[in-house]
Amino acid sequence: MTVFLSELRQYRRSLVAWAVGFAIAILFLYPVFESIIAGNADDRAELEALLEGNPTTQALGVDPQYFFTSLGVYALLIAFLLLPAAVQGAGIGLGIITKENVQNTADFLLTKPISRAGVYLSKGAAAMVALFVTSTVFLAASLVALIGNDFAIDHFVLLFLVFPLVQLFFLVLGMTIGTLVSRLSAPLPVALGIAFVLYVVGMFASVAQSNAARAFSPYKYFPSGDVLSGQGYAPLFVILYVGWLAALGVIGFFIFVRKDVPTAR
Amino acid sequence: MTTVIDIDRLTKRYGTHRGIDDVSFAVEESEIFGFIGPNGAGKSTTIRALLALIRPTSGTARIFGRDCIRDAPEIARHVGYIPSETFFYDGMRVRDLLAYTARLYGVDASDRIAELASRMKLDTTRKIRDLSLGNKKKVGIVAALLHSPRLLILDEPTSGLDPLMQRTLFEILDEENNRGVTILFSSHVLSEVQAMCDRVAILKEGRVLEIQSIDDLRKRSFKHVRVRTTTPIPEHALNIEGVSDLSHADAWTSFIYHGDFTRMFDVVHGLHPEDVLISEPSLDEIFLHYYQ
Repeated sequence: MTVFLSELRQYRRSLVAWAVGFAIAILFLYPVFESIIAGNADDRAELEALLEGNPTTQALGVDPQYFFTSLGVYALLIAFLLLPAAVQGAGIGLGIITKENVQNTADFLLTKPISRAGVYLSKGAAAMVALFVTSTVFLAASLVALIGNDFAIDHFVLLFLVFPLVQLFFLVLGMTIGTLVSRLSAPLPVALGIAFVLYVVGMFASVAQSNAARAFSPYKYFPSGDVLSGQGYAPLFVILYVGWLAALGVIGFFIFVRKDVPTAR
Repeated sequence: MTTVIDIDRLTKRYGTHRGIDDVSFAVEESEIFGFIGPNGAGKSTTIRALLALIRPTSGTARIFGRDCIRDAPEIARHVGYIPSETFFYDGMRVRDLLAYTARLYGVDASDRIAELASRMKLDTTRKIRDLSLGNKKKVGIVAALLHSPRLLILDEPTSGLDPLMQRTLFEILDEENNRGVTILFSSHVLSEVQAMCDRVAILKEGRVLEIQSIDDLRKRSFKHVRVRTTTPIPEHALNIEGVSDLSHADAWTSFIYHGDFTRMFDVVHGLHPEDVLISEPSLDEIFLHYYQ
């Protein structure tokens, strides 16, 4: 509990910055996009036909037939916001593990009466709480942004949930990579790289309609088209998501528990 | 007497690079055990294995009869560790860091922290990042002692401390030892080891060369011999087994001798000395012999 609280305290400021950033993004972007789309409502059929099979919308994983609904706009914005969400998740994951080696505080922390497993789980729990707070703020801001619109709440929940699910995936991925690399003086640029590479993989998977490529991009595990058409999440990708998460979590955990602590330098 | 540290054939290899090889020794309760050797001899590697910071390739290390790796958290409750270089969370204030340390040990140590900080002349209101090397070391010392451990593992504990603070540290260590605390003291400063320790393990290239009591080490047949002669001593005259560190300065010739003293006296007698001084060599001089 001591490590958990200490970690959480250290992420206070960045947590506020990320949460406020996401809230502002959805509160400002939603009305703007909604008004653009509403303004073109007369040409809806024409636009839908134009966007059908369009590589850009395909790459983003947005289905044109839902483009003119309130949740369709929300899904479009989520498709963009998943990238910074992934950066936040991967950044915290990488940083929370590697910082002890970068600051040379690993000797201090790991010679205290707390097991390595306890340290790893405390760090993981603190990072998850940080992401949970971000997601909760984002959820609240999303609801405020959508106020006055008519939408299916179950569809909204499934669309929103992709946000924390992607964050969690990148958090666990970041922590696992963190245990492998040990020292990383600037985790955020690396987090950006990881998040962006997998984003591009996801775009490729959508355009090429390749399920194999899609398996390597968590952004595309829960496509908005499936949610908006009432199909929900594809069970295969839910299983794949849980599988990746479990595998990465277990690998990171065992490396952290067994790895030699590098000497301070 | 209870064995506090028991290391048996401990080996750590880093790929092809050797860390420590077949290190074995035991430290008894209330003992101050020295650990000497030059940089790279394996002192820190041994200590890091004891603290479960690294996993040994083979062999075992036990503290309080428990396995150092498997039971690390339980062992850590009763161990205080001062690393050679102290690093903490730079953004924290000293008092917050010490309070955090106490919480990690699950103890309320505010009185002890106040007492130690006052003795070490440590300002606990300052931020870690603003501290000098010596002051960071003081934080490390307070952090290692605040939970009143039964075993202290000290890796070059005086580095960075001024002589006055070194003395305070030795006083504190003495007090701790008097109340039964066992101390493993690693250093390459031999005078400290000489002043503090009961026994000493000498490490060279990852191996324990010898474990001796400080008295034995000093009293062993190593003698510092100085001979004053009127005429220079011929080069070959002292070319006998057991002579090392031979040097000449003015009328004095000095060397370290280890071996049969009758033989040495015969040789010295043949040099027609004006004066002869035979003394205990310093630990530094003895130490040098292991690293030739």
